[in-house]
Amino acid sequence: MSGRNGGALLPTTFEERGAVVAFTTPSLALARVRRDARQRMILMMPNFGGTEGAFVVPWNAVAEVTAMSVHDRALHEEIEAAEAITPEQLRACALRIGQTGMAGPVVAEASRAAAETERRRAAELHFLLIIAVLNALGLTTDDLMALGPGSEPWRFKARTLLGQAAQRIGIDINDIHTRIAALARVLTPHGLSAGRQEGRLRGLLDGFAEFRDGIAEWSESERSELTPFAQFAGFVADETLKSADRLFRQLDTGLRDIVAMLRDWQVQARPVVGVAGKLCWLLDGWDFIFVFWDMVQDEPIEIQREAVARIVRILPLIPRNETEGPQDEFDLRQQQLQGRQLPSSTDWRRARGDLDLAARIEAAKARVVAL
Amino acid sequence: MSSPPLAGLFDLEYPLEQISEAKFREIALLLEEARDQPEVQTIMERIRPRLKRVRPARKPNLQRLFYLPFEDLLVDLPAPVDDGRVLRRAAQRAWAYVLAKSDPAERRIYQVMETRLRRLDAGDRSGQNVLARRLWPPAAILLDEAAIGASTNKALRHELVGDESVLIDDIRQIVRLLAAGDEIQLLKDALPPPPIRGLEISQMALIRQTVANSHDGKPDRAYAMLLAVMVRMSAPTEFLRRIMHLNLDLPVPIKVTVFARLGKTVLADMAGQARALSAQASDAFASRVDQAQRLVAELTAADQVLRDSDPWTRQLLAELHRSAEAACAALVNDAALRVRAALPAAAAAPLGELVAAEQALLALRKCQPFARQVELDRIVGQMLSTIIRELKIKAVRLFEARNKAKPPERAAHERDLYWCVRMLELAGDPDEADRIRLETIKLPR
Repeated sequence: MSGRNGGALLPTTFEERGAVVAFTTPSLALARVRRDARQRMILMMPNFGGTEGAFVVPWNAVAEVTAMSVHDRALHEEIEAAEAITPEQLRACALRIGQTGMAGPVVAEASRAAAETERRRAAELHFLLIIAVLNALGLTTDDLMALGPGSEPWRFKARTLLGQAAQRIGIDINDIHTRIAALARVLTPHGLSAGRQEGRLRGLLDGFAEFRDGIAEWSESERSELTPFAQFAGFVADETLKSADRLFRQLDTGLRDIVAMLRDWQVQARPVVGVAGKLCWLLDGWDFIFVFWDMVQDEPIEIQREAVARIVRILPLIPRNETEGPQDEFDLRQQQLQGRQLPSSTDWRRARGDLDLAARIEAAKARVVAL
Repeated sequence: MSSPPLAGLFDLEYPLEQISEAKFREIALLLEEARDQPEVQTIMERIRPRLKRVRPARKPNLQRLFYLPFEDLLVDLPAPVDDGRVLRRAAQRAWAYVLAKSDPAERRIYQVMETRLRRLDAGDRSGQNVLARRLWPPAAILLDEAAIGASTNKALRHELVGDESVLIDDIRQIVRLLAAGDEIQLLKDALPPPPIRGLEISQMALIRQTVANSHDGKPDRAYAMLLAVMVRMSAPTEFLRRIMHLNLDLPVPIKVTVFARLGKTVLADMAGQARALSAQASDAFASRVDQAQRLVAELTAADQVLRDSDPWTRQLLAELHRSAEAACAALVNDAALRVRAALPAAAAAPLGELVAAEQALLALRKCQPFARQVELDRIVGQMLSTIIRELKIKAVRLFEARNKAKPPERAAHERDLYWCVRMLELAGDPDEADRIRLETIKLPR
């Protein structure tokens, strides 16, 4: 669902756009999974037939359409078993299968490191949220800070202080524990603002400006039919960055009064969780694009053109119902692409196993996992 | 305090080879400005590899314009090679001769041209081309006359090439390329920058048309145009194979002669490739297999291009085949040994070792498509079969060991089983790999 030929193909929601599956088989790379109208899982393969739009395959028929790598067969089964359809669920599946080494030792190493980093970040965030709640309530945290987080004395002290906090907020002690833990889980991919904790998604924002400027510069020196497509990719990146900035601001504002949120959980937590989820969807797939773009920076122009064509095919367009700004410029830019054809990407669609291409995708996957 | 000698640039904390690309470009421009200083020439030689890689926009000067038709053929070698390439010092001699021996009126014109050139932007190709087109024809005539006269006139020979009379052939080659300079420049401007990986039909048509319309019945002109394009190709022999079937409006015997002369250059290029391939005995299997693949493809194209050439060339080609076979065989052996050496440690090996083993296995797989051309297909097939068999045996033993192991030790066996899965897939048996994967999943926890 590239949506490049008019608004009719533009997805209306993030769920309809689907989430990227980190397959390594070239014809499946950056395919998206979602549920259909009957809640069955389907896979949307980018430009499989060399035409516009996506090739939609029932999830259980993917292996019949293309020869999957062994890693992808395992990932396919894992996703089906977990019924994973959100970006974060899919990332968890990819990390689990990546650690087996079936996508190579570099992916395995990167997956193990990423899983460890995420565990550490979740624990850190949990700790930071506890400190934030206690500070907001004027409870002294000096003793807590002096103890090593996670140690038994620390836990005991934290429990005591959180008990006092729950009393002051006027909620049950169990509720304060579960609510902080839930918030930490939701916010782990994002981290906290003002450098308190750099999450994976917040870190991804740096890549947008770099990609937008890089591809704009490339399109200025390019004299092929790809020029308007490259400009379009830069525009989409810029729009996504603006949306992400706005959503991160909303998220940070929502978290400013954490005490009120814990007190009025049902009302105040819902929008924060919603914005956090939206950010996961909005930024889904861009990490691969940044890595693909970076990988061809020193390559010859033909390979760069191939990469740009590939990137344009998989551009994560913002769904129609998810944009807050006016849609006019987007529609105008889409119209400018009407009637133009992207050059076909033969190696990307080759049915036979392509060892080099699969290795390049695995290398990209390792870098994405490590982000 | 006297300023430090320029060579001291290499002894700095961040010598020229290591400074950032932006700074390097700036310094390259400054050095280009001061290229007449003897010390600068030494520095330019030293940084030439990085200059080639970075290709900074160089401030044009008249000497650089003079070099344009043969710039891709310049080499730094101790002795002439007689394969179409031109020694850099022969080019320097030629330029010095042109400057020294042109008549005073022409020299004044050169001074005016040099001034105009300095005013042009580094990227103003059309402005440079206008000046270059004025420069090449008289220079070609002057050098041609000198090269003819040098065979009988000792004083003239000394003025032209000093004590190195062997450079005369290189001067003649420069004359050929200067004489076709207009057409060469036109083609270079119309084609992608080197190395050219492939040409579109319209680009091939342009080359054919330019050669056919501009050779004026002179084989030297056709040769010079084709040579200048050919050396910019990443697969020059394949280019020759494609262009030889096109109508270049040359009589067949002349066409055969032209292609035989071009063949000398590609044979020298392939000999270099074969030497580079056999000299590599490292774990860099990815680059080794790419080199081997390119060499074999070029050899296959050369078989067609040089089919009707002289016996000496055919003998050279046969020798090249033997060198290529030996180099590919060494690659295949090294790769197979590397993979088999990785079997005992399996997934427990350090990351670098694991990557190297995978690269070696991939190299073997990538050798398969071209192994037949160097008569190694059976050996490669056998090696892969052996590796698959050994991996299967290892997997069976791992299952047995895993079943006997205590729970804490099972994870290591399972990691090794997944390593076998991965290696089996890379070795070309994905079904067996998947079967082992499924059995591993089913193991009781």
